[in-house]
Amino acid sequence: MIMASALFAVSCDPNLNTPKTAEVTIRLTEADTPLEKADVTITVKDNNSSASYDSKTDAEGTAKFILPSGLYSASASYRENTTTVYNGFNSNISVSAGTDASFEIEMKSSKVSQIIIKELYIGGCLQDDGIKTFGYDGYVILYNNTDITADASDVCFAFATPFNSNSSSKYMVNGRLSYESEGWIPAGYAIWWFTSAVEIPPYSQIVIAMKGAVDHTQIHSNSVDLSKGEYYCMYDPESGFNNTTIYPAPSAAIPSSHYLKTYRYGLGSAWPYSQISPAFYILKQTNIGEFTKNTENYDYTENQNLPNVKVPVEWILDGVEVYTTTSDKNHKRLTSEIDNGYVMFTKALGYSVYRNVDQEATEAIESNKEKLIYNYSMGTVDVEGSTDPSGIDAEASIKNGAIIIYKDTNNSTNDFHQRRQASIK
Amino acid sequence: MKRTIFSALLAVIAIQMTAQTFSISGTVLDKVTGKPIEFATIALTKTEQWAVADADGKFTIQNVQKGTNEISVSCLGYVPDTKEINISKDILSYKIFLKEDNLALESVVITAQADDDNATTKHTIDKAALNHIQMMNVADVSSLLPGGATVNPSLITEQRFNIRAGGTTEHGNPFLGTAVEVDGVRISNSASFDAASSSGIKGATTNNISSTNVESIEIITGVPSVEYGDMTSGVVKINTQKGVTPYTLTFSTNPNTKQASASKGFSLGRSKSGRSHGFLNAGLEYAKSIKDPRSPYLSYDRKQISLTYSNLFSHGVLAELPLRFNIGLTGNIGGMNTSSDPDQYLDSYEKNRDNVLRGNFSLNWLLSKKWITNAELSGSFSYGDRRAEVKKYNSKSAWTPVIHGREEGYFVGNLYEDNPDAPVLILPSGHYNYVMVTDDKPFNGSLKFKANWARQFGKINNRVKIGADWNSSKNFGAGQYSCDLASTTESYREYRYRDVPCMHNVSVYLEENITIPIGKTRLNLIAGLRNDNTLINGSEYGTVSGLSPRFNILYTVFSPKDRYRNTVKALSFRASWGEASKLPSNSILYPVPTYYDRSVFTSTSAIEDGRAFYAYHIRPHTIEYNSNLRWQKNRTAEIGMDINIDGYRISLSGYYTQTLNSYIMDTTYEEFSYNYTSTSAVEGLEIPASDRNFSVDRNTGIVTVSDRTGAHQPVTLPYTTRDSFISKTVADNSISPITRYGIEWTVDFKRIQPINTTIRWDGSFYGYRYVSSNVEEKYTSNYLMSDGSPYRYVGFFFGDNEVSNGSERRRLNTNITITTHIPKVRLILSMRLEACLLSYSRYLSERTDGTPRNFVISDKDNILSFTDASIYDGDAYSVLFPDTYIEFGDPTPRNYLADLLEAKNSDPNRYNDLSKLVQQTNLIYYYGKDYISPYFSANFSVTKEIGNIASISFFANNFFNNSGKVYSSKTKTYSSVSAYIPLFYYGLSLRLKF
Repeated sequence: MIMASALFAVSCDPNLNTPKTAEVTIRLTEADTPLEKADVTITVKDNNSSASYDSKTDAEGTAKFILPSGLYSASASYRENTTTVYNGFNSNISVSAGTDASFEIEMKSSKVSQIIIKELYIGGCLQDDGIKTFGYDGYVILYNNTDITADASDVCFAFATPFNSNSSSKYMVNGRLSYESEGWIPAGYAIWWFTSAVEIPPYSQIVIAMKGAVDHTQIHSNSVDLSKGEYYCMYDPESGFNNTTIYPAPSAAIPSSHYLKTYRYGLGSAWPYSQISPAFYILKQTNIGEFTKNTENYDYTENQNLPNVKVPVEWILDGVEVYTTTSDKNHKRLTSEIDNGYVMFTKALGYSVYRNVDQEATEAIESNKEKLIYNYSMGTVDVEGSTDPSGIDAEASIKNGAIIIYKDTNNSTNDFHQRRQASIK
Repeated sequence: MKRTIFSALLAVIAIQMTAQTFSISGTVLDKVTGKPIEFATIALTKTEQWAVADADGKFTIQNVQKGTNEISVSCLGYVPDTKEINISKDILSYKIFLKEDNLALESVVITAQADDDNATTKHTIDKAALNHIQMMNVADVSSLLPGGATVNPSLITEQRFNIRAGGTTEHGNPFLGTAVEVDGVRISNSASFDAASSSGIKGATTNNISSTNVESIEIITGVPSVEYGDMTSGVVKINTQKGVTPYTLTFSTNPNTKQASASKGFSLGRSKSGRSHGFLNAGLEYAKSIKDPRSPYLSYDRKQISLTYSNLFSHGVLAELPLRFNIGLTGNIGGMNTSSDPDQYLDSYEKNRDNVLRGNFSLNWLLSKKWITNAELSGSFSYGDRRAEVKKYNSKSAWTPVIHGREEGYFVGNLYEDNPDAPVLILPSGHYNYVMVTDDKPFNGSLKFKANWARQFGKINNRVKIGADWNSSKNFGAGQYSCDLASTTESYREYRYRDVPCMHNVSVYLEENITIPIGKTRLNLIAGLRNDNTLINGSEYGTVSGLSPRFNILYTVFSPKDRYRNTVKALSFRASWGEASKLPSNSILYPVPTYYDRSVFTSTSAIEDGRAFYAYHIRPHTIEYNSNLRWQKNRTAEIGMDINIDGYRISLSGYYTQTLNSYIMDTTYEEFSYNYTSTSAVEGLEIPASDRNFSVDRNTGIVTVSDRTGAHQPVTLPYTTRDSFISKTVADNSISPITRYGIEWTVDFKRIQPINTTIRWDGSFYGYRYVSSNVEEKYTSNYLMSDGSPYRYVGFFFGDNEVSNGSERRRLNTNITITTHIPKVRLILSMRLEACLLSYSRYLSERTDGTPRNFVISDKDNILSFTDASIYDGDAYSVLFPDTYIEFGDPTPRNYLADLLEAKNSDPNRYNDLSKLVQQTNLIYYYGKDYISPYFSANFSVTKEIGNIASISFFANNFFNNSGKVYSSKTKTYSSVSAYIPLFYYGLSLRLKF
């Protein structure tokens, strides 16, 4: 009798009859037509928490999820062949409990690049007192990820706006980037280019100082030495970027042929890439200076007094979308064909954004046997960062004579991690 | 004819001068205890004669004209009393009873009271009302004006009075022109140099004014008497407590601010002959605001002491000519401080003093002569110490330059130990701590003389006021400096404020105030003229003068005293027109000079020790004299009416104000060429980098490298000449007037007796419109030409060099205040609902004739895709072209659009370069009408008196603050209402008297 009463009471509880989840179907598409690709992992992430759900597509290219109410982002990536990858992203998955719904992820193909961004050191470091921070250092490393010498002479450097991932963006309309359908990526303030012929031998790198081409370790031991003669540096005071704190007199060891040049169409006395969360990318184009001077290539969506230059997507070699750990309001700036993911980053602790090793490809190189060093310890998982899932210590392995092929799926979530220390230290 | 009228007038005056006079003697007593009230002020308002009650409450006013007069009695702590009095003989024992002012009275008012017997719009906020809001800053009382919106009290942000004007986004320096006086001391920052900012030129802040010893605040929002000058929009008169008062302790607290105060009004006793030694009012106050209770390290504090001595000399030769004397001194120590914030670097802090010493005196002499009634001499001074001190830390990992030079020329950097006075210093890499100081010590002094003459000519009352003011502004500060130049990692220039000449203002005024009975009605006419003169010794500005005429009319149809039994108990109409000038401050006439520093050479850093050289061309900006600078003035017209219909009191006023010649800081450009040496020029030099010494020719900028070891011959480096423009700033006036208009009302409903409740409905409609007609120049120094050289064009835009050259806005705010007052338990509760029913704004872009300046474009990526659509449709992008432009080397203005179109077809580089002057909107709805949907908030306050000893008040502002949203018709989006209404706030105040 008691149980019957309890059952009756329970059955009368209106809350028990209210569904708390919904079935969500996500379909892959390409050019707005169904993309029937099986076994592609679709990842759905809760925009307001760290909850994440994976499901594989069936033969029709669809995957099903049972999700609570909320706003989600869905992404999918797969490599079609050695040079082509597919990426897609939809940040507008709105789920209402009890209402089944279908969404699409528009997949875009892109080519993997010979020249890739290996490392971004952007956030500065702690000073020796362990309290104050220092941020007038910064560099990017380009890497030739192939066994053929790469011509980097026409490689240029840019960042998309807004410069911080947690700033509101006027480009974001209904959860999509307005330029996504127009085939360009904004480049803020200026684009830098080399002034001399630059070659990168196979599986080799060049370092480009983006701030202060001097030895910062003389004053701040946690910083980096950017004064070496083989380095390149962004240094063009005639452009208007003449802030002597950020661009002090460059090291006499660096030849002027290693000074990069730029044309400032933005404001300020320095190139203001974000120290916490840039959307950094490299592109390849001859005479980029002429392109950036041409006002017909300007876009004023973000600020009517401050143009962005519209860089065609097909010029872009590689990009990395960096999100800040200081905010849960990050949003994408690079479109899926450039970077379908993001890497979380904490500034001012000497960390860098470092590319993961393509374990399968690297281990497949015959000469690497006995040279690869594992038990990678520079990851930052212990401080809620990330690490290289391959476990290969790339820098130690290179010093040991190994050849490293880095991961390049045009998805920073897979391709990058937060490294504990700048690799050139 | 004129001669006849003049003769008749003289005859009337002569008759009046010989007319018989009487005296009035009486006693002022406490209505409950019957005890005499010492220091009560008795005034005959029509003849402006007065007396002060002695220790026995006795007073005498002599030489009073025959006829009907009005006797007004007031004393601190008592409810003022006004009665009509008929004088036809000596009155020997006139008794006046005053009620003690507390919540046991039936007629307590906690709202701003409009003065319906005044020819201009004026509101008075008395002690009961002040106690019923938690006033930490005197500017908080603005919320009690019609349509006022509550601002949560805090001292962290600078507060200013801003009467009948919108926010900082409006033109015309709305925060500049409101005059604030504390016991006659004008709060001014004319001598300060921090008044000019990006949001306009601002008046003095009220943060350092004590808010606890305020007895009442009068706010004149309409056209004030010509007695008030150096203002454009309203007068705020803050009256502090004077006379005998009990010990009063006040404690106030809210999440961000704590305040404690003590005050007492002492009688200093009397001499053996019975003469009073006067009264001393002393007040102490401590207030501290913190920005964030979770991190209470950014704070503002106010430690204030005030002393006021007052006395009446009415014995001996002054028996018939009483002389009232007041002297006051107020000192404040306080300011902003971040020094102890552990979240900041331990070695850094920021302290901004807000110390001030104010003094004032007044001598008011009742002469009661036939040719003069009163003479008043008053003076005041205010000396501020607004020293800002910032301790900073900086590290340099490379040798870097800092610039201190104030002379023109090319200079290469030197180490401090080599030349501490070098215009450019080089700091080696290292860690640096230094203290930067901005020493701002404004002084303002004034001396005023005023005389009045008040007579009755039969039933005609005539009052004449004549006066002269002298004000002086001077800054004794040292300006900006570093305490340790060798460790200072930032460039700055000395500018000694104390070297700026003293500015004097001398004003004279005359005002005629006549009241003429017309049947049972009454007409009051006031006409005044003020002449302001600014004198600056040693300045090109020299002496400048201006006239400010003002007129007020009050027509009283029904007076309350005659209309006890009528439905319409009072009815009056008023109208005013007047001009008022705001004299310029030091920050306008002597803006802190600026310098253009062009980097002309940078060496490389030596690998061994980081040694590096930097050279600059320094170009000081001369302070431009503008011979056409005119004084900003407001021209205001106002009409109003007050009516009392069976206890329902309605006050209405409408105004229309034009701000003329508003101060603006204008920017013009001039050609400038300099020689530039590239870093790459040092490449290949035989002299090793670590042995290089660089020098630069001061006049040519040519860089020479020499060998410190002497092993190599000096080498002159190649250079290029770069042509550009540099800017100059000059104080100027806006050509177009700024228009503000509005309607204000208060409706006090008849008291609902059964529930002891009154309801007030007040509100304001405010409109603003401004479209600039000044031609503004634009030089985009951020851009380079297509060949990489500095930009070579300056554009001339009608109105503004931005996409809009004006804006319009309208607001409708209304409040309902429900007050329940229960005298028996001495409790007063109030609920106030604030509503913004209309919030409209829109950007404008027009020429003088209303035609658009901008072109609508059909393709946002094509600035030449013009269409005929209107920008005000709010559904398209638009572009703005300069009307003309000049090119470096050719000062002749050229038609911009014609050249742009020509270049489009013939010269892509020129087209590119020219098009950088184009301004374009980036939002399709940029010029759309923006209506924000209505939003509301509510406040609850309660004050309870516990006997005569204590009173306690509780405040809860916006207690139903919620996460609601408002809709913008322009962006078609919803946003949080929290951006429009104050955050939830609660506070408590306790007042003890003994």
